[in-house]
Amino acid sequence: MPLIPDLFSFKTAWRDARTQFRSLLLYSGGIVAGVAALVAILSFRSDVMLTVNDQARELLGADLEISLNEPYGDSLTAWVDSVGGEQARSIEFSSMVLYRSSNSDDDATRLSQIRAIDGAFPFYGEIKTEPSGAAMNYQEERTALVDRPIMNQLGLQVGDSIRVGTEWLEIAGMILEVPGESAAFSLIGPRIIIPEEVASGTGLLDRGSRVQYKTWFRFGPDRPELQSDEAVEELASEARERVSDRRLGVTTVASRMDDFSRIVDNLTKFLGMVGFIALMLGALGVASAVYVYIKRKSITVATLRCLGASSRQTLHIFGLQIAGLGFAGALAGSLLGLIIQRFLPLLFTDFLPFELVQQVSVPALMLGFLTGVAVSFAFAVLPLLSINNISPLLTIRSTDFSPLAHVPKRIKATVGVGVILLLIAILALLLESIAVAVLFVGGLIASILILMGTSVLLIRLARSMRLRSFSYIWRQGIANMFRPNNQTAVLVTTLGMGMLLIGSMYLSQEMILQRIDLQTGGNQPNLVFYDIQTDQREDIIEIAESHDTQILEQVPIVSMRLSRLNDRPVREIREDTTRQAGNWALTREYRVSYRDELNEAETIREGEWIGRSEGIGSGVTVPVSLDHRLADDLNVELNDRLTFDVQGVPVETYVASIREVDFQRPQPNFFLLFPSGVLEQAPQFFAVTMRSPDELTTAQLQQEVVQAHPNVSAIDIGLVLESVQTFLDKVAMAVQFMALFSILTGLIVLASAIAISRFQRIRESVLLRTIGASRRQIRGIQVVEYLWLGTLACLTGVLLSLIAGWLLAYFYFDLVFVPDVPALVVASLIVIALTLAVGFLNMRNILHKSPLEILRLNAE
Amino acid sequence: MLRVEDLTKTYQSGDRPLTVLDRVTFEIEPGTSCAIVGPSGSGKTTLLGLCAGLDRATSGDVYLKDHSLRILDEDALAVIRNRHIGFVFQSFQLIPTLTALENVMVPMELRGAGYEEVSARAERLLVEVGLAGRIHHYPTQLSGGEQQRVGMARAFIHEPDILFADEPTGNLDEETGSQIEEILFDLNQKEGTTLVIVTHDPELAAQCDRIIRLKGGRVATDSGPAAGSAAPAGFNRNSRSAKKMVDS
Ligand SMILES: Nc1ncnc2c1ncn2[C@@H]1O[C@H](COP(=O)(O)OP(=O)(O)O)[C@@H](O)[C@H]1O
Ligand SMILES: [Mg+2]
Repeated sequence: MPLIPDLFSFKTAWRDARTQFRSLLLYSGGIVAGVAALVAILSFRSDVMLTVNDQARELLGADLEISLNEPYGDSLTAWVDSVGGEQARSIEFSSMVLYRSSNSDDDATRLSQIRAIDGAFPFYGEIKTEPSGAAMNYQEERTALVDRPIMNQLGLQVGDSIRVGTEWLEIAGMILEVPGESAAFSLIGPRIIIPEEVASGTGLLDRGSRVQYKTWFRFGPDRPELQSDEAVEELASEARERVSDRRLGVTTVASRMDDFSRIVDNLTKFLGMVGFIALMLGALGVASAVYVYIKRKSITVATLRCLGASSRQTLHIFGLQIAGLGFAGALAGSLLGLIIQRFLPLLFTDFLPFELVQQVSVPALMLGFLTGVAVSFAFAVLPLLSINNISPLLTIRSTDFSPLAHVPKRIKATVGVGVILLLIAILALLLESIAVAVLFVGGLIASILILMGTSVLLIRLARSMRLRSFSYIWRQGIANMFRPNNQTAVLVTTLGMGMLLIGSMYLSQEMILQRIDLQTGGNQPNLVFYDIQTDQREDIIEIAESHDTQILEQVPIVSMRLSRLNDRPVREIREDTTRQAGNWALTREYRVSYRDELNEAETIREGEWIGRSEGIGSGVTVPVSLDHRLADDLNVELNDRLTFDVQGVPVETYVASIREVDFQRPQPNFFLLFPSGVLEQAPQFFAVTMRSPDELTTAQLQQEVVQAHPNVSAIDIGLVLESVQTFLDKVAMAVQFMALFSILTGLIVLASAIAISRFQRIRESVLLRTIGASRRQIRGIQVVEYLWLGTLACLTGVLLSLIAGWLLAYFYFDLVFVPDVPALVVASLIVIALTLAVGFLNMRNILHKSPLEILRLNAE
Repeated sequence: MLRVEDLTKTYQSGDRPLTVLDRVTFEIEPGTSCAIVGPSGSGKTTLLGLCAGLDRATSGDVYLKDHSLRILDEDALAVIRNRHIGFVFQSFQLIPTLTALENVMVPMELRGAGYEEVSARAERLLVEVGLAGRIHHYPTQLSGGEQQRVGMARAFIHEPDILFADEPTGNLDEETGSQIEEILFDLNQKEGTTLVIVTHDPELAAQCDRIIRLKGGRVATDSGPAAGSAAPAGFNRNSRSAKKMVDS
């Protein structure tokens, strides 16, 4: 059995390792951080899934939820009545809410998320409030529950009041938690819970707002036939059939759980990938350590060969050691991962709709552990195989042995391909997608190669600099980076990758904000009012102008539905199972505008924009323009005919052009655009964009408009920007936390590289001391060495992240790239300081050793 | 015991071939000792390496106990080395992570022998070479002479048929060197091993039954094959042992 090591190999592997455990463990340390990251993320995912399973019903608060964006028709109402069970209803919409604090003279207005509830929702879990129990009584008492962030921000107290539409309500409690919703929900807008009957009195429902009508069901023991997921699912499809033509949203406990799991899955997969980068870097560090280790062991191997050990035995001896190392490293990483698992939820508190139940997940632990062992071993195979090429001749003729030089190309290629396939296989397992795994591994290898190339270039540059004018200490310190068997390139690569990750994360976050900022600067709108009725328009414009606010655009909006596509009724198309068009595009309520000209956010891709047409009833087919995504969804091309139902009136149109629309701009944009001359007489409402001179005006203006026209909503772009920033900060923090593992890996690999070259370093320093160098000078030389190492790594990482940032800015964000250099410099300084600290920590003993003691040390 | 036939070794140095050994032929009888001498660069080490199967010849062949080394693969050569060959190196080549005792035991353990059966013999050998008190020391804790003694104990533990030594005293001072020589010949005589020593120490060479002198990769002079265990050499060795006993 040639694969199983014999007793001699085991014994010798053990005996040889015995005296050098500490340094051996350090060699394998590279993978610790990566494995820890993986184990922590996988455990976190398993914790979330566990909690979701445990609290599935609380996630929805009911057994079944249906929602529709208009009042229920007779058929649906009849169906709801027939289903029975326990029921609760809500009407949900966004509206301006006026907050009046007893502590302050000024009122504040905010676009808020209103939930007007009737009944005992939630059936499972509870709305947590302060004072507790406020959620029990608000319906009888006609009071409101208000989200915590807005109450804290505006200094509101229980007992203060808010105005929704035309109705004043007292605040009965502060919302702490709503089942199934995370704290991040508040970023969209403050959540307000009021009794349903109040909503109808607000005058908001019939005036153009987007409204969702929801019904929740609970099937108690009196409905034994509805206790299984399948039964509820069947009921749900029944509901969908009832409202065949409309968009009825149906959510069951199972589907809510699926949606949630998918989000968590995607998030943890992404973070897992960032963690995997650390693991790969660590494995690279281990491979480099093994390379140097084998090189140092070459004489021992040669001696063993002289004494009659077979190549298999020598391979086994060191293979066993390396495998043991991987094992130990992965074990240490797994344990560390378990500790990190405890704290990881802190990063996600705002995104989790429940308190996480934590426990040790054996599958997560095993997966992380085995991945660590496999990856570290895979990377070590090539240097390990070179043991076979160590000639016993080395014992009598001392020549330098460079491990990889003797391994045949064919074997190198085979091992290389094998390792890549293994990585892909492991990742495909973790990510459940071969395509993503292939792309990721490809991208990772490419970026490591680029990093390595850059670092080699920078190292060469540093080396070729003629530093005669520098002091001896500087020259010696720099020369030290290039001592034989140095691992400078690998160190610069691993540390540099950490910098690259953190740098590019930071830069792209900056750019997203910069991009939004840009769109709100200059002459761009910073305040948008919408849902304005025709009769309210004049008044609002007057109010705005009285506040020195410039009106930029008045956009008319007409809602309509698609009724026929190329003369086929939409209803028929929907029943056709071979259809290509998406359901959403067929049934949605289109909000359409009309203009003479395209705006700057629009570019024509195909066809021709026609800005004017004849009115309804003239018999002319109207030339319209579609966004290319909508055209794809409907599967239509130029000149295809679409018939729209504009509030009862059919309008014949054809696709005259297909546009590309940049929806990231703050001004209202539309998937479907009509020419002017057609819809002017149709029932319509308006959005008005304006630019107010300052924040105070923005606030006052909103308030005044809302006082006069409660149904009108406002988007304060400044506030939106703030929300986006908060959100991005939170997401970025999680990603950067994972990227930190790469930096950590770099530092550990540095420690291991110092440990490997320890003897060399000791000999150098003793030699210097023997010739009369002071301790201070020797320390100076070390400082220079680590300083340069850290600097080169940061330079590599920052340089590449700047390039990545620039490419991103140019091709994706369409921005002039202005990197935040100070932030990058600060990050670099921290990494350089850490490099110095690790260097010193590992060298501290050397200076205290007496030269005599050191001269007796052998090259171990 | 050892037959060398038309042995040639050529290195490709740059674009010119460099012939280091040129059709060397000789045969060494079992139980005899043979010194290979010659100026530095004459090919001694190369020859030794080829004889011990550490390297491959360009042409010609080496027969060790009638095994042709040319036809054996690396692992078969390893088996030959373990069964029949002992080595003493100029730079000792002890395994730094093993103790003296463990270093000595390696050749036997490679054969699969258990700790108990080998350790007694290894300890005895270490005592015999004068390291009674240093059995569990690591190489770094031993002086050069002591390391070479461990090296010799290791070379003899598996009772090899033939022992190769490449300048065994080259890294030692004269006095330590001659102690090592003494032990070498002593053990050699006790075990009846064939001895091949590369040296440029004329005194050491003179103690051997036979001297082969290399020059420019060829055999310059050869004192000729000695009979079985030649009387003068045997006498020599005995006298040395006697002298050692007197000394101690
Ligand atoms: N790998 C090699 N490549 C080229 N030349 C070599 C190689 N090894 C040894 N030589 C040359 O072979 C010659 C003989 O070397 P060696 O056998 O070590 O001589 P000796 O041991 O007698 O001093 C020397 O000239 C040396 O330079
Ligand atoms: Mg030599």
